[in-house]
Amino acid sequence: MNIAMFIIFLVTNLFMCGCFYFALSSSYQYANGMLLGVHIPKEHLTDDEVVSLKEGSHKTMKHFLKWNTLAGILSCPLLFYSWFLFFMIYALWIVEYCAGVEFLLILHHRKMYALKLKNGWIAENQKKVYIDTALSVKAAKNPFSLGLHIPVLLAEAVCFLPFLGKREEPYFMTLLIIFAGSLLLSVGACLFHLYINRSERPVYSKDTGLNQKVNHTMKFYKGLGLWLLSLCNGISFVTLALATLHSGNFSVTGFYLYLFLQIFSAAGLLIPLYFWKERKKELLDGDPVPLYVDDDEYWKTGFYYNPGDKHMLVPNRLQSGNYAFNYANKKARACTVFLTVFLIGCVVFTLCALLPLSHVEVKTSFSEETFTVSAGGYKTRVHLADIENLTLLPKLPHDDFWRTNGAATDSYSVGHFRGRTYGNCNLYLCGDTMPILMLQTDKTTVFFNLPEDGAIEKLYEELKEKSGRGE
Amino acid sequence: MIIELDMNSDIPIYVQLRNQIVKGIGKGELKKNEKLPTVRQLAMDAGVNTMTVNKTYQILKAEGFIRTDRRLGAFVADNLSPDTRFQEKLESELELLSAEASITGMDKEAFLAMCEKMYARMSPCSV
Repeated sequence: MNIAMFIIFLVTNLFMCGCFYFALSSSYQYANGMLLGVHIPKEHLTDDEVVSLKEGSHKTMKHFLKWNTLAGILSCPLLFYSWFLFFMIYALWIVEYCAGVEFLLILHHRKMYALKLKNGWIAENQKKVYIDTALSVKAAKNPFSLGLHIPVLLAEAVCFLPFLGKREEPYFMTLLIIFAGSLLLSVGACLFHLYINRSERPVYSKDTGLNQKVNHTMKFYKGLGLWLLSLCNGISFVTLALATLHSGNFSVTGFYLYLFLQIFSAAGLLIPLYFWKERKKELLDGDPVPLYVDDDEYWKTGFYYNPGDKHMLVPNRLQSGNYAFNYANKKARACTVFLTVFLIGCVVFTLCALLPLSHVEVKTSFSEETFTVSAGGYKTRVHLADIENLTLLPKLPHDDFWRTNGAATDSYSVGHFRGRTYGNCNLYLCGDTMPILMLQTDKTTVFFNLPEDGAIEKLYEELKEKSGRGE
Repeated sequence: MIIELDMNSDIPIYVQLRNQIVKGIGKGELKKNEKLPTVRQLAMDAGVNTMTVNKTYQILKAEGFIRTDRRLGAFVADNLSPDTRFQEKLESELELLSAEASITGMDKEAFLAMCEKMYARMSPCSV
């Protein structure tokens, strides 16, 4: 499990760092009449102030990205030491990385905007909107068909169908979660593809033919990228599902293949976006009649705020390939609040869930009528009168125990599990101390041990006496 | 064609849209029977309400510059012939322009040269 988690986080971190490099690479180049997201007249590009600001900003950002990529890679081995420590450091790193990139981008952007205002480089065509009628008319035409997503979605759904009859299997819930995640990603890719096809019609030039070419190319590459993301994601789930069906049990090999194939999902999205960026630059560099709308005023804070724009999402001029919310739009503000609360909630929940697992110790206690065993934040309380069977076992039975809500590492297994024979059971096992005490009621089965020598045997006798049960 | 809207202008958006489309037809940038964006598409791209675009299209249709089909959308009209109403409208607008030109001291030859220059830019597809 540690190895799987190490691979997941290493790949995720590298993918995230790759996305940042890709998104930020063009911010420090002069493109579409802009530098650092600010419209600057071409003739002033070589001014000392502009060059100094551009190079200084770029250097700062490169260092920041480099050190954070290293931190992202070096943090992963912590998983082998302590999950709680890893998640805490990981959460801090993610927040620092994302907030840091955003902070630096906005800082550099504002400095450039201040320079522009100081020098009076305001273009005449502020607050003008350009519409290319030929582009608008062809809005419904999609060079990359949305229908290609359907076979992927169907394949994922069809491969999950056989498992609906296997709800009793211990791995069902895990597979359901993976299926839900895969389907969500594929559906999300499809919906975003639809959004791009319907909404994105930027006008770059007075040459309507060029606008159409750029738009057509954009829709093709972005559509291709989203479809490849969905396809590779679908293939990875189908692989896992088929491997599990074939083996009759949750396939670990299938799971590792699933993780490996997800790398292709990421590549499938990023590579076409890279080619789109290059192709767009190639097309627009040769444009003799570029059309620039100086709407820097709406971006002056670093965030987009334009009450006259009905769009909720707009291409982010500070991060190529990314999108930004229009904070003048109520839905955008609501989405931001929801996402912020959700993300903070996830982080806090994970840390709270992992905190008890930072030090796992099995504890037992008696009250007048009940017996309680707990470890790692999990607890089972049974009435002494409900105990039907008490057995000392030399070792844990081999029953393909599957973790449904708990934690299992090389040094402990605590929480809710499901076995093929024993069904729903609770495990409180720490270290390799034997024997193990099995306690059964009509509702549940509990397996636990105690660290001190002889302690479990003593507890067994005490439970036998108080419950009147025993082998 | 490229439609340019000035959101800072005192001229209402629907008038700007109407004028831009008429100029486009006049210059030949919009050909006869050429499809125009739907009300929804144009409204989305312009960032305006659909009612604004609807009003524009109603005016253009009334003036005979475009025709609309419920299923297929809006198209540049294929036969535009100046009727009496158009003549009267043109006369009225020219009267105003002439008055402004003469008040500001522009002489007749300069005014007519300007009109000729503007007219020369127009090359509508044969209507």
